[in-house]
Amino acid sequence: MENPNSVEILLVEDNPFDAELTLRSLNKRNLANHIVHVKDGQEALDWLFGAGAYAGRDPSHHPKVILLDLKLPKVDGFEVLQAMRADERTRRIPVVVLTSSREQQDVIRSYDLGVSSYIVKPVDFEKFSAAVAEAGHYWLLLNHPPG
Amino acid sequence: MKTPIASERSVEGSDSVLAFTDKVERERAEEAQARLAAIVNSSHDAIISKTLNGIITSWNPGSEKVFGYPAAEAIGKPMLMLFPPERAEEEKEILTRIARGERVEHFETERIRKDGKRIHISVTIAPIIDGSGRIIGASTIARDITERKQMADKLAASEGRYRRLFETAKDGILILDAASGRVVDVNPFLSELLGYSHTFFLGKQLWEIGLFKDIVASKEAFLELQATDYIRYEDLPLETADGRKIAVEFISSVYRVDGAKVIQCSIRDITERRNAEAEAKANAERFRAMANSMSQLAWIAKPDVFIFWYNDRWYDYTGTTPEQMEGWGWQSVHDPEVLPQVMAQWTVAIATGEVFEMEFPLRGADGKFRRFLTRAVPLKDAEGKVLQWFGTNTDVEELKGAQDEIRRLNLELEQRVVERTAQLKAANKELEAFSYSVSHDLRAPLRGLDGFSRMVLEDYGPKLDDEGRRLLNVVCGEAKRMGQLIDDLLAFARLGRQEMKTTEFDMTVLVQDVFASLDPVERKRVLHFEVKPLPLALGDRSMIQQVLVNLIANAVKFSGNKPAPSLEIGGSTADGFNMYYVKDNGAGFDQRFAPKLFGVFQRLHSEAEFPGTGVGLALVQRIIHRHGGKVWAEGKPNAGATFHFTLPTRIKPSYGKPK
Repeated sequence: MENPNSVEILLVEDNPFDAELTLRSLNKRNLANHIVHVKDGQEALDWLFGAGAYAGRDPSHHPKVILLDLKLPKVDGFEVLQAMRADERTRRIPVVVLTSSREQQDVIRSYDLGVSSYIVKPVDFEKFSAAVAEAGHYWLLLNHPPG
Repeated sequence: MKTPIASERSVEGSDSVLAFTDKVERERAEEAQARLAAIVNSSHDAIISKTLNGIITSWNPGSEKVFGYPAAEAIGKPMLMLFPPERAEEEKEILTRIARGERVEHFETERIRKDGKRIHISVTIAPIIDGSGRIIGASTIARDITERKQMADKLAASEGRYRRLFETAKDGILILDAASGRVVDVNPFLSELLGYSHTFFLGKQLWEIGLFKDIVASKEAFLELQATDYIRYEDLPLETADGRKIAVEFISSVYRVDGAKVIQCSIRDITERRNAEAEAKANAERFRAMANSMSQLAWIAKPDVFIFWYNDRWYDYTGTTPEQMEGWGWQSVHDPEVLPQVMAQWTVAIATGEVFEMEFPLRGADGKFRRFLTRAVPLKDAEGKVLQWFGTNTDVEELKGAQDEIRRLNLELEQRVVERTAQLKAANKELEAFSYSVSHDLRAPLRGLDGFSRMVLEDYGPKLDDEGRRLLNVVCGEAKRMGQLIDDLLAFARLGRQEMKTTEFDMTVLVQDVFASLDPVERKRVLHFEVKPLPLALGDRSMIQQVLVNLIANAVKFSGNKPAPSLEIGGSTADGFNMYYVKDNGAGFDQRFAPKLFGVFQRLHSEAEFPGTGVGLALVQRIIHRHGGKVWAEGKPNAGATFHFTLPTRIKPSYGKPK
C-alpha cells in the first residue's frame, strides 16, 4: 500500500477490468505511482474521511484528483460527491467523473455537484487510454490545486 | 235693441172708465166705481194710470209690491223712472201709440225697482178716454213675470242640455209615441250607427222599419212593452244599411210626459265588447290548452303564494285533486326534509318579488320522488307590486341522472388517467433504469474485450503470427461496432423521453449547417449539391437537425459509389403541412422493401456494401412522428432515392409534451 499521505490519485472503480485498463493507461505515462484504487463509494468515503478500514489516515491530506465512476455498489458516485461537498475538509478536491453513461441527466447532476470534468469512457481502448492519460497528465502535472 | 210692440185697436167702451150723466146711473156708477176701486186696490198686478206726458196719476198697492215705490213717491213722477236706461225709448213709443188710440198688449219687458233690482214684467197699456172721446192718458197693468221668466229660461236651458245629451249620446236613442208606436225622434248616433237618415225613421212605426222587423218590433212585443213598460234584449244582431253585422243591447222603457206615454229605446253597440269577450274567451281557451299541453307542471299563485290554479299535468303527475291542492296543499307532495329550504327560499322571493328558482323533489302518483327545476316569475303592476306568481316545474330527474352519470364517469376517467399516468411513469422509470444499465453495463464488457485484446497485441504481439493478430483485430472491430450499436440504440430510446422545444426556424440555414458539418472527405465527394427554396419549419430544431444529419449522411453514403454523386434538397407547403425532401442519385432501393426502411435494425444493404447500424432512419421516423408529420421514401435500385418528410404548419398541443 502506498504511503497514504503521498497519494495523488484516488481511483473509485468497481469494475476490475476497467480499473486495470485505467491503471495501465496511467502507467504508460508514469502517472500511476501514487494511486489508490477503491472498489465502491463507501470505501471511497472511508478513505477520504479516515474511517473504517482507513481509520487513522489524515483527511486533511488531499489527492490531486479523484477519478470517480458513477455506478458503484453500496454508495454510488453521486452520494460520494454529495458527502464530499458537504464537508469542509473534502469539498475542494477536484473530481473527474469517469463513466460509461452518456445520459444528459447524469452530466447535469454531476456538474451541479461541482465535478471538474466529465469523461465518457470510450469502448475503443485506444481512445479510452488517451482520455485517461490526458486527464491524469492535466490534473497531476498542470493543474494547481487550492491550498 | 228695440222690442217690437204688438198692438191692436182698442174696442170702444168695453173696458174703459166712463163718465155717466144719468143721476140714477150716477149712483150705480159710484157703486161700480167703488167696486172697481176695490178690485184695483186688491190686485197683485200693478195698475197705474198716467198722463199722455207720462206723469203718474194713480198707483195701486199692487204697484208698490211690484215696483217698491209707495203711491206717495210715485204719483206725480214720470213713468220713465221705472225704465232701464237702454229701454228709455220704449216709453216714447208707448206714449206715441197711446196718443194714436192704440193698445199695447202683453208686452214683455224689463223695469227697475226702487231697490235697483231688475224685474221682468208683462205689461198691457190702454188709452184713457174721457166722456168726449178725448184721449187723456193711459192705464198700465203690469205683472211681475221675473220668476216665470227665470223658470222658462231654466227650462229652455235644461231642454238644451238634454237635447245636447240626446244629440251627442254614444248610445242610440229612439223615442216613440207609446200609443201609436211611431218614431218621434232619433238621435244622430243611432242614425249614423245604422246608416239610415233621421227622416227615414221619423213618423214610422217601429215594426215598419225593416231592420227591426221580426226582431223586437213585432206588435206582440210592442203590446208587451205597453203592458210591462220595459223590455230588454241583451244581445241583438242587426244589419246596418251597408250590410255590416253588429250586435246591440236594446232596452225599451215607457215613461210619461205631461200625462202622455212615451217610449224610449236605448240601443247600444256592443259589437266591440262582444268581440273582446269572444277574444278573451279564445285567449283563455288557448292558455288552458297550452298550459295543459306542455310537459311541465304549471300553476298560478296569489302574491302570498297561495296557489289557486294548477294545470292538468300537475294533477296527472301528483295524482291529487284540486281540492287537495288548493292554497298550501302543494306542500303535501314535497319531501318533508327539503320543504323547510323551499319555504325559506319562498319567503325570500315573496319579500323581494324576485324570480324564484330552485330544484327540489316532488312526489309522483306512484309515491316516488323525481327532481324538478322550479321557476316562478312574478307578474307585477306598474308600481312593482306582485299581482300573481306564474310557476313551472320541469322534470330534470333524467337530466340530473345523466349529469350525475357524467360526473361519475369523469371522476372515474380522471382516476383512470391518474392510474395510467402513474403506470406510465413507472414504466418510464423502468425504461430509464434499463437504458442506464444498457448504457453503462453493456459497454463496460466491450471496453474489456477491446482493451484486453489490445493488451494482448501490445504485450504479446511479437509472439503471434499475422493470422493471430488479424483475429484479435476482428475482436476489437466487432467490440467497437457493438459499442456503436448501443450508442445508436440509446439515442433512439432517449428520443421518446426527450422534451420537445418547438420554435419556428429557417430550414435552409439548417440544411447548410448540416451539410457543412459533414466529414470534409465525404462532403467533397458530392459533386452536385443543390438546395431549393425551403419553407420555414416549425418544430424542435435540434431534433430536425438530427433528421437532416441522418438523411443527408445517408444520401452521401449511398451515392458514394457513383461517378458524380448528386444531392438535391427541396420543399413545399400544402394543406397545413410543410413538406421537405432529400434526393440523391445513389444506390437506391427496391420500392417493395420501402416499408422496411424505417424499422429499427432494418437494412436493405449489406454491411460490406454500406456500413451502418440500421437505426438512423428509425430515428428519423420517430422524430417526424413525434412532430405529427409523415415520412416516406421512393427509390429504384441504382437509380437514387428520395426521402420525404412533412411537418405541420401549426403546433398541435397533443404532441407538445409527451411523457
